[in-house]
Amino acid sequence: MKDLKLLYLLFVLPMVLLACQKSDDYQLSQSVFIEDPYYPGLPGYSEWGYNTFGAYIDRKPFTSNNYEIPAKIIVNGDVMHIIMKGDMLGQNVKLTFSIKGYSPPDYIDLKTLDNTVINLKDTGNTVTLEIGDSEKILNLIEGELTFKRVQNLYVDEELDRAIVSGTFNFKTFLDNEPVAISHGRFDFGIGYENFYNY
Amino acid sequence: MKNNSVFFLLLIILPIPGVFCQETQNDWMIFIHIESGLMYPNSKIRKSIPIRQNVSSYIVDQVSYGEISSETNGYLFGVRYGYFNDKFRAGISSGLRYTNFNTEIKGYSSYGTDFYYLRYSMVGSDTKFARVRTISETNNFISVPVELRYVPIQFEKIGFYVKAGAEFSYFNIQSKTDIDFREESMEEYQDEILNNITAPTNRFYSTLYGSFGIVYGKEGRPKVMFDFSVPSRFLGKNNFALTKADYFQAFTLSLQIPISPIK
Repeated sequence: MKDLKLLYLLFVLPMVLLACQKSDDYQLSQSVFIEDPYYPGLPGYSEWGYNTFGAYIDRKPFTSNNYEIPAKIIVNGDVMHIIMKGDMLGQNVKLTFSIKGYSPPDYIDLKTLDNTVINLKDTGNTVTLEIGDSEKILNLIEGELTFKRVQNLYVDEELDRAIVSGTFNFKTFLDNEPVAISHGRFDFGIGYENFYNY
Repeated sequence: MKNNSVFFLLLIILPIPGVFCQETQNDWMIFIHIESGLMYPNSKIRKSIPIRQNVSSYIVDQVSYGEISSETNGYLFGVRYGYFNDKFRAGISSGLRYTNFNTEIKGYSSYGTDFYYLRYSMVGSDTKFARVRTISETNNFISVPVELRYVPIQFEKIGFYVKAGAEFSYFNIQSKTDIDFREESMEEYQDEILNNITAPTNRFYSTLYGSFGIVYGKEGRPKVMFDFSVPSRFLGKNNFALTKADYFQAFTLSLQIPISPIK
């Protein structure tokens, strides 16, 4: 009988506690895509944590979609990788910025990036582009990644996630031809589910 | 106190020309109008109210499972004292009117939820959202309407009229804004949040309106009047704290009771 009680405590109690946990994070993890009327196909620049991004690769819009997590931040040692996953005219595309010298221990520490401009040509920084199955580290001509605003978001007075918003532009070579990735903008909610430090 | 004096003065002054007219102008008739109606302001959520996923422009292509909307409507009751000239088929009336407006901002952040996110603070790198079910506002006005009415078509029992009017209010007798939070613990922040998001309202409420109507009843007996306003204007700005409204439409049902015999 004692064992039964113990079993009950071991299995039922954690389930009840899990059920009581805040389940509304899901709402803020969804993407809200509001098209920029001045840059068709791209989301408008926002700082609401809409979980969207977009940029023109030459003239083709590369944007987040509704079925993949649009952004992950992975910290390895002193390098921070910002991965943006989406599509461009039906093709899967993954863009990764690897920034050396930034290693926030947790997502709440991302606020140190607030109002920061990163020169992508600086030593140690790399940009990787994967289109379909082909992945390559880009040879940059020039480029910048700007964190315009990083906010710690409290929902009903409880810390929920960080909102990371900014812009990016760079020039590189694709198939030996110079290409501009322009008017890039992003607005991400970064929390437990998409921040990793290992 | 000053405002109350103005209304008492009007109440005393209004009947005087009626009595004068009654004795000197045989074509004048005197009526009491008891009215009630519904008002529908064409309101939009103020851009200064920071609601996540609230997109005010319809030009853009939006992909979101959320929806935010606002609704403002009102009702009115009033009593007017009026004169009507049978020869010119035109009349004037004035009195007192009570108008109540209710505004509600409601919505959801995605299917299956009953709340949306309201940003109420941005200090340094900290941003705060509250999960809100509805934000509501109530305004109550006492106003003095002045109406001109012309009846171009009159059959034995039915007449058709056009009306133009204006109303002026010196004060909002009661204004209240309220937030229905998803988490009860947020109630203690309500005043702070309302201070951060609402715009100050104009105490002087006034409108200018026109309408078409139909009147039914026998001469010398009480008549029923129903009118439908054309899109009419709020003269002042900032009548509501949560929404912006420049125009409104109204339906009014009134009873016209003669208090002087036809000569």
